[in-house]
Amino acid sequence: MIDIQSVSKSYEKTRAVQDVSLTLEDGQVFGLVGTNGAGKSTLLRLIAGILVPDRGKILVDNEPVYDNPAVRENIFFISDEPYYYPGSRAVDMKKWYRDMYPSFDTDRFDKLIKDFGLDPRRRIRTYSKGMRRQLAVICGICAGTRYLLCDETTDGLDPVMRQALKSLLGGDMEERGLTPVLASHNLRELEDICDHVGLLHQGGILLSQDIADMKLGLQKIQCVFEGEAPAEIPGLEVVSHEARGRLHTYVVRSGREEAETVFSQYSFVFYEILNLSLEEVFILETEAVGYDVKKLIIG
Amino acid sequence: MTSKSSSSANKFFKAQHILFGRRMACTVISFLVWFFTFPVGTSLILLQDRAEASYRIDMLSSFLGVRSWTFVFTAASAFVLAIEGVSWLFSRQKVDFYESMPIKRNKRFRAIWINSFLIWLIPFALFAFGTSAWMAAGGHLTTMVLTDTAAGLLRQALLFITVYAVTTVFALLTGNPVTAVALSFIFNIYPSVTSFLGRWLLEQFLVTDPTGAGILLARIAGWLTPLGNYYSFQTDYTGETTAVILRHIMKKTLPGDIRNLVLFLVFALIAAFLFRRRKNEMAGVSLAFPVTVPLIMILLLVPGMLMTGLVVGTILSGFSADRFVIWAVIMVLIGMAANCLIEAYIEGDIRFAFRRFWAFILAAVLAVGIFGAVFFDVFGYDTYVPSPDSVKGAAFLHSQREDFWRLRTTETYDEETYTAALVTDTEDILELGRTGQKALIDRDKNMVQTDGWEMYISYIGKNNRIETRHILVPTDIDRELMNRLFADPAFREDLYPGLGADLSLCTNVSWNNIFSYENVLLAEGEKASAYAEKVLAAYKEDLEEADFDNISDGKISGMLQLSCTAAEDTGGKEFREYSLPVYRSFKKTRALLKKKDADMSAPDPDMIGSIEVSYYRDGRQIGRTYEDAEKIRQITEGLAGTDMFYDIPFENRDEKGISVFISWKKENPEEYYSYTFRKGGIPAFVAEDLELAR
Repeated sequence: MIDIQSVSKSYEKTRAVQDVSLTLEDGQVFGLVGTNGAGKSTLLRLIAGILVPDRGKILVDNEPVYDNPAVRENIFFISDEPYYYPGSRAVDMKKWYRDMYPSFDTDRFDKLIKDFGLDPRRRIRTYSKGMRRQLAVICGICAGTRYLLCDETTDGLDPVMRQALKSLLGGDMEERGLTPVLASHNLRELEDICDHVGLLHQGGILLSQDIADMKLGLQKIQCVFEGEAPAEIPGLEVVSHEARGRLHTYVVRSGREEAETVFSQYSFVFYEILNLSLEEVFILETEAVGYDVKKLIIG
Repeated sequence: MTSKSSSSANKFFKAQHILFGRRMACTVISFLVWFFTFPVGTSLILLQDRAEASYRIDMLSSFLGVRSWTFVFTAASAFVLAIEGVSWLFSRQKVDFYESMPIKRNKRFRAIWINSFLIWLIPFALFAFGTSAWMAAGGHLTTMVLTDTAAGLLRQALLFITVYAVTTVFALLTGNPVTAVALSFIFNIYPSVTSFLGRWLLEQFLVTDPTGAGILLARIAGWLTPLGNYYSFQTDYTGETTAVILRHIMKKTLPGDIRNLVLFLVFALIAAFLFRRRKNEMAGVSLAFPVTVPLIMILLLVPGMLMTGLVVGTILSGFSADRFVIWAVIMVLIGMAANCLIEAYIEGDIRFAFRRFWAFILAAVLAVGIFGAVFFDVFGYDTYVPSPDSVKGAAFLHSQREDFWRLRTTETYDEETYTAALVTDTEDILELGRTGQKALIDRDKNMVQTDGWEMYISYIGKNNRIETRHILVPTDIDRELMNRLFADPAFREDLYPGLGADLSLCTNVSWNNIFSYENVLLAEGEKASAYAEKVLAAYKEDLEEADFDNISDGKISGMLQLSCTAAEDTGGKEFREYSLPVYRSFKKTRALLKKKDADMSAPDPDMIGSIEVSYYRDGRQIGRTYEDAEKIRQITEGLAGTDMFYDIPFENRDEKGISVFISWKKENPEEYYSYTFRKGGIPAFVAEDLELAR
């Protein structure tokens, strides 16, 4: 478990992370979202022990992470710009990581390199950006660490590779309890991978919740009433209401059954309950706490 | 299959393996340099003439131990490897990569450090001792060569780690490679540069400073510059760098080793501290520790402004207050421009050019303050004359001053011997010092036309402290005072160094320091030595009978050059030569020399091919060449003679400014020599030919 306790980090006068408290449970895929400059990379680098918090502390399995090799053996950080030695090849990086991480799986590395179609003897500098990211992911997966921190890792991957990554992460989570932490500025990319999402804005955490809980607690109803639409829907907390002609769209905070029960009291020409996207859930939840989040997330 | 957990030792060796691979270029260069230095260099020496075995041993010893350029290469290696060793801190990508690895930060730091040392050490030791073994097999190895090799390795190893530590400190202060290289380089040589500036400043404005005050600065610079601790010997020994001398230096530079060891320890501790405190997010910035920015600025700006002042000083001369104001304003303006550029560079934005203006103000105050203090001689350096109670004697040096300082810094310097040779009449010493210093200040600072002879006076305090001043003995000085001083043998020894030396050879006798009498010289041997002794004895007798009035009238007949046997402290390799002026009144010396056809009354006209006289008038040159023996004789008789210090005083020169070029016949090494007539010495036919009457 990664326990982040009131952590703040500033770069001279710029506050990158401000009083963030989070708990990243084992066995979950944690998504960290936010705009560019929201503090995602800083938070990941703090978790990886690259940076020292100005205030607060970060514990990984109840141990401080900074300059603690025993803890770091269980954390692999994939930077947004992965670094490889000048002139190195995939096999060289395999040797390096094999020496650094005691649980590095060399056979799996060879297999994944082959599966991903990467040439292990080719100089990495000749790889495309996407191939370099793939290699970073393969190194991270094969390191055998319990935590895998990915900074914008999915950004350079094509949909097929993203799916492959999802599958790899899922497999490792099941087999050895891997806990991936994925940072991205794009919610749509994380929606189908993450179990839990934290939204960072201006260094502070706006929201941290399980995706399932978020979705289950909000219902989106589109309907066309027979006759006049009611002024209010008693018995339900309406989070938002939009009317376009006779088509009304409600988002209510409730369970699906409860919403169906309340709405069954009315007569409709048309009525359906829709699934909310993660993006919509975020917008609604963050607007509820006073932020115009459309500006923050939708790119 | 997963890899097994690595032990610490394993990780260390693996880290070294990886580091060597990554730093292949540095490793290869190091191997190549030491390969060409040791095996190849040794082969070349062994190929030399087999008859000179001892010479070869000397050369081999120096090759294997203390060749001066190898010190420079060692320092350069340490510099490059230190910068490269911490360069990962300058890139966010690399920081993310290395700092997320499961390895202790200080362990990684140490691994890189050790790797750098090994890159230098392995090829050095391998080739140096490999070559020694090869020499042993060929019967060339001596204990001296082996000990020199070992001592050279140890000394250079110490130099390496010291330069590495100093460079690491300044590289750690920075966040990008450009600043790291610039700052590390500047601060590796900073003490020497500031010392140079300091000495330049003192020499420029303290007119009586014979670099005596600067010597302290130079010494401090040496102590604080790792390479300086080994290069100081170059000011001590200027002769052949034979193994014997180098062995002597190695013995002597033990304090240099200790100073470097202290430097290493101090800078290694600072480096370790800075590495612990350095924030990883500072990758890419100019200076990683904001608190150091003003300090670095001040350290750079103060000498920078002083340098500006000195450069301006070479254009504007004079010591008036208004000149100082112009100097100060230019210094400050240029300093301010430099400050703005540095700030804009550090901040990456010209709008922050005045961000820490207070640091600039402080630097400007310091620079102007230091400049003003020296300019106006606030501390009274030039006017300093010790109190009579504190002085036990003085030495007066005019030509062998370097010998004096050299003696003081070598093992052979004997305080007692030196003190015994002092002039001890305190009253006369101080009177001469006071008069001489004032005359020099009048001439150089107050622009008062003052003629005289330049000398150096060293006051030796009762506490053995030595204060040396440059003085000008004015030609109108109290003759009684000078005659009293001249009567003191110690004073004469100072003016004519070498009188007490164990002279063995006459190496040259010349007319007026121009024309050499070849036939006076005798080859090396007992006869030559006996002759030299005889000449010296005659010279001493003449000097005994002379007084200051005799020798200061500018009537020099010729010069006598004598050499003494090679000094023991130089391993018998370095000969010392002394020049003694022969005055017209020195009858015994001249008579002795005349027996060998060295008649100093005039040069032998037969040896002169031609004489050309030339004169500038109304923008055109009028010249005549004479080959007639009688005319040549008349011209040479009219030439101006040098004074007691081999100079031609202005009052002795003919005011017309006629140049005389003597063209010697083939036996003489000098084809041409430019000279001038003494007052009233222009022959009538020359005056007519040059149309002087018109």
